[in-house]
This record gives sequence, structure tokens and C-alpha cells, in this order.
Amino acid sequence: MKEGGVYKYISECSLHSLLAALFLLMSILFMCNSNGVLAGEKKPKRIVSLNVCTDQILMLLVPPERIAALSYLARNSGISVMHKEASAIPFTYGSAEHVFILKPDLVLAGTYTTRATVNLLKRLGRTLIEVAPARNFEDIETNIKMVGTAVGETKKAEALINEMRARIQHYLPKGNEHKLDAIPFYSNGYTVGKNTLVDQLLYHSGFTSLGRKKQFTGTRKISLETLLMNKPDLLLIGKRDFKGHALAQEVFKHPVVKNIARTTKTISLADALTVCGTPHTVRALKKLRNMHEKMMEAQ
Amino acid sequence: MIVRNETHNYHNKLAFVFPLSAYQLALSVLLTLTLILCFFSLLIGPADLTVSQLIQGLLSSKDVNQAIWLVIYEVRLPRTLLALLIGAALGASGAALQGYLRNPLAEPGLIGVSSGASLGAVLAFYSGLSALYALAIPLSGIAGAFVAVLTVYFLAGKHNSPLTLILSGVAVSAFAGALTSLALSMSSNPFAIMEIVFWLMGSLADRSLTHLYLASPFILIGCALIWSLGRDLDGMSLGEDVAHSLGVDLKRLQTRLVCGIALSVGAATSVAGAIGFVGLVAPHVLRPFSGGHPSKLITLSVFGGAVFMLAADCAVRTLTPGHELKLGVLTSLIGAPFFLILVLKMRRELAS
Repeated sequence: MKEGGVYKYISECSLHSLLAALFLLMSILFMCNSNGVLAGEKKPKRIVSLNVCTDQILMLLVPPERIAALSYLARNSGISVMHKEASAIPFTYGSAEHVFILKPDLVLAGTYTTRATVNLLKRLGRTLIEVAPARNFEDIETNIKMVGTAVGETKKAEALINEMRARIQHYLPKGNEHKLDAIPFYSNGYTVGKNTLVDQLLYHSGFTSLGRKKQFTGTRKISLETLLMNKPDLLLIGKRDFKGHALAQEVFKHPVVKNIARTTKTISLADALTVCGTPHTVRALKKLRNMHEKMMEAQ
Repeated sequence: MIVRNETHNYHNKLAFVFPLSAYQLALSVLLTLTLILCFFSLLIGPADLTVSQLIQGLLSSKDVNQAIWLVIYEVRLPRTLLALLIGAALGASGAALQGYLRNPLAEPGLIGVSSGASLGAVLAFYSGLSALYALAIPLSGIAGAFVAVLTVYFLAGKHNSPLTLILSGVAVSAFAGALTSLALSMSSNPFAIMEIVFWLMGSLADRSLTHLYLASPFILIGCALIWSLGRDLDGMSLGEDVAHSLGVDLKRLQTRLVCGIALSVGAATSVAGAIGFVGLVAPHVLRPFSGGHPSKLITLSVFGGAVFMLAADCAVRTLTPGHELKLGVLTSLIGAPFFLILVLKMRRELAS
């Protein structure tokens, strides 16, 4: 996909969006089949969401009365931005048995989580849509649209997308300025590469991530030596306040990381903003963009 | 004893070629290997330093090239020194345990001392105690090792039979391992459950100078304590009664041995997890060079353990860079076949 400085949805929707649209069409047909009516005409009233990302999109689109249950992660403040709203809504750990007795008229699931439950629910003939994790802003729009259509709130979904698009537009870099390097650094010394939401956020706020520079994708461990030899302009610390202790977070106490944190600019982003692609993710873009402007001024 | 005869043959053959005894020769080879492996351990790493960069970095001050200096002194050096010390601790403990119990199967990993130490360290770390008081980790690792070594000793030590030793060792090991896994499963931190592997398999990845400072005093004291028991253990190799008549204070020997092992293995395990088979393999390989003297075997095993550990850690880093194998995987990979050979040899001896 072309990655211009200016964010253009229509021109950029190529094969990717086409596939998503096809998937959307298929899920609509699937719903017609099981409900006998078009999803747009009859609004599901007992929706169950099994994924923390669909949880949040769902809460943005429908009133709580129409939600039968969210995933148990929705109320976890470390992962879910909307944990306060979620705490008033029942939750499920996602076992097929529990979901079945909730008698949902629509189940939202992620493409990678709760697979056993999803397969069982499909076999039992429940209406179910699967939403892929968002890796960029286009994906977020696709997902909102997809959930919006499924719950019969197309208009609301469109409004949400337009509002998000306007906010993104506001923060995007004006010229071609990707001179600053950034390394996202997480528990256990992991970093994220190209085609991840965090990389997209860094790119659209004017930074070049190590993954983009070295052309690796996905999540991978970065050794402290590599960190030292590729000292970035910005260290993005994805430190989450976990309950309890683990060796995974000891890496932040390592003298090398402390040294780098002392001598370079660091920023910490709440994981909840970047775990899921939702309209809330724009807040992360805003934070990074402000940082970028401050750093450019200082230069 | 068969072992002694072999040694004499060895010694006679070598005496023609070298003016040194087999023991002295083995010791100098081990010392050389230790130094070479230390150098390689400092050289290997994702930062791809050249030999000249390494030497310059080692000799220069921090300000010349800060990145390289930090790579060498803050990332690689702690790792190298920890491998050296932990290998020494495990080797010495294995040799001393085998000498004292007169049992070739005695080894800190096998008889549950490492698992006990792991459990102690896990309790201190995941309860948050170590965040308040840094020394809590080595101290409670030592306490865990102490409890485990005493348990095994009282269950099996006195009867001096390989069977009871191994049975009680397996029981202590399994129990401590299970409690470790239980403690980690009950943690509210989502990463804790994945860290079971670290505590049961061991690793030196991302260890820092802090870990070195925390563990090394205890390891050094423990090793010194074990090493000082060499002469008494030599006496013990002739049997308890003879040792007693030679003036060996058995109670004192026992107390100091238990303390030495708990201190060295406990502190080693608390920073690197439970690493198996080092304490078994090192003394067994080196026994022919010790002339049947536990004192010499302990000295040899200190360096033998260090060499084994340094080599294993270098291998771990070269075999699967990026996502390192756990150290225990490699030591067991080498150690387990060795153990099988030992069993076959024992069977043959029993048959003849």
C-alpha cells in the first residue's frame, strides 16, 4: 500500500479494502440467511462480544441495553480504554457454554482469539462476525464499518469514521519529514516492526521505527546490544502498570535501558491506546505528533 | 579401585611426554580454555564487534565510544562473569557432593538443590520482596537451597545408597518445581506464567552488573568454603571411620559442606534459574585426572564447570540468535546422553 504523507482513504483502498468489502458482503449474506431479514432492518438486541477490540467498537455504536456481554478484558484498564463504561456491562470469559446460554442474536469475535468458542458457535448456527486486528487507520475504518453494519448502526458508524478521519487529518505531518528515528520498547525487550499499529502511528507522526528502517514485520525481541548500537532519537516505552511482579518488566531496570532513557527522549504510551485500533487510538497519534513537533523545534 | 588404576596408566603414559602430572596438565588446559572461552563470550553478540573493537573497548574509558563500552561492560561482561562463577559453583558443589556422599549421582540439579533455590528466589521476587530489599533474592535462594540439601541429606545421605539418594532427590526436585510453577501461576502479572521456563531451565540473557554484584559474594564464599573442605573429603574417601581416626571432624565437615553448597548454588540459581547437569558432567569427565582425590577433583571441577557453562552460554547465543534457547536446554542436551553413558558403564561394571 502506498504511504503518502497525506492520509487519503479512497485512493488508498486497493486490494486490501476490496477484500474487506467482500468479507463484509459475505457476513451480511450470512446474516440474511440466519435471520431471514437484512441486518439493517432488524437490530440485534442481545449482542455478545468476545474480543477486547470489538468490545470497544461495540460500546461506541450501541447503547449498553443491547449488549448481553463483553469480554472480561473490556474492564481491564491496562488493555481497554473504555474500562469504566465496560464495568457496568456483564462480562464473559468466552467459553462456548457461557456464550450459548446468553442466547445472543449476534456474536462479535476477533480472528485470532477464542477460536474454539467461535468454531463451536458457528456449528451451532449462531450469527457471528469475525473482526481482524487493525494494523493501520484503514483497518480501523473497515472494522467500525463492519461492526456498524452487523449491529444495524450504519449511520452512526459512518459518523464515527468521519469524525475520526477529521481528527487524524488534523495531526498528520504536512511535509515529508521522517528524519527522526524511534524504537518502541516493550516488556521482555520486545519491539514492533512494520505493518503494526504502533509503527503506523509513529510513521504518521513523522518518526521512522527501527522495524521500518530494517524492514522487519511483526513483533520481535530486540537485544540490548542492538538497542545500544542503533540509539534512536525517541525511545517509546510501552510500559504498562501490571499488577504483580515479573522478570518481563525487569528489562526496564537494566542499566543499559536506564542509560538510554537518560540520554535520549523517551515517551510512554498507554498500551490500551495501541492494543486495539479504535477512534481512541487517535489520542496516541496526537501525543506522538506533539512530541515530534517539540523535538523538531529543539533541533 | 578401577578409577585409580586407569589414572596411573594415564599418568605413566603422559609422564614420558610432559614433565607435568596428569592433574597439573588437566588444570592448565582447563585454565587456558577458561580464558579462551571468556574472550569468546565477550566477542559473541548481536552488536557484531570485531576483535580490535573489543580490545579497544575493554581498554578505553567510557567516553571514547559509549555504545561499544556499554555493550562490553554492561551487557557482555556481567554475562561472562556470571557464567564463569555459576559454572564454578555448580562444578565445585557436584564434586564435593559426590565426594562426601561417595555417590556418583550426587549433583545439585539432580538432588533438588537447584529447584529448591529456584523456589526460594521465585517467592522473593514475585511477592515483591526483592523490590523492597534487593538482597532478598539471593538470600531466599540460599534458604531454598539449604532446605533442599538438608532434606535430601536426611532422607538419603546417611544410608549412602544411590537409590534412596535419587528417589529423594527426584521427590524434592519435583515438589519444589511444582511449587515454583504454582507460585508463578498464581501471580496476577500476565508474564509470570511464561517465566516458569526461566526458573526451571535457567538463562543468562539480559543479566546485568546488578545481578553480578548480588550473587558473586555469596558464590565466592560458598566456593571457598567447599574448596577448603578438600583435605577432609580426601580423608572421607577412605571411609567414615578412617576419616574420623585421621582427625576429620565429621559434624563440622557436614555443616560447612551444606553451607557451602547452599550459598554457592543458592546464589547462582537466584540470578540465573536452575541449570542442570553441570555439576554432574564436570566432575565425571575430570575424575580420571584427580588421582582419586576429592580435593583435586573439586579444584578441577571449579574450572571444568566454568568451561562447560561458558561454552554452553556461547552456544546458546550462536545457535539461535534473537530468540535464545534457555541454558538448561543445552546443558541437559549434553548432560542427558552423558548420564546415559554413565548408566551403561555402571551396568557393565555390575555385570562383570
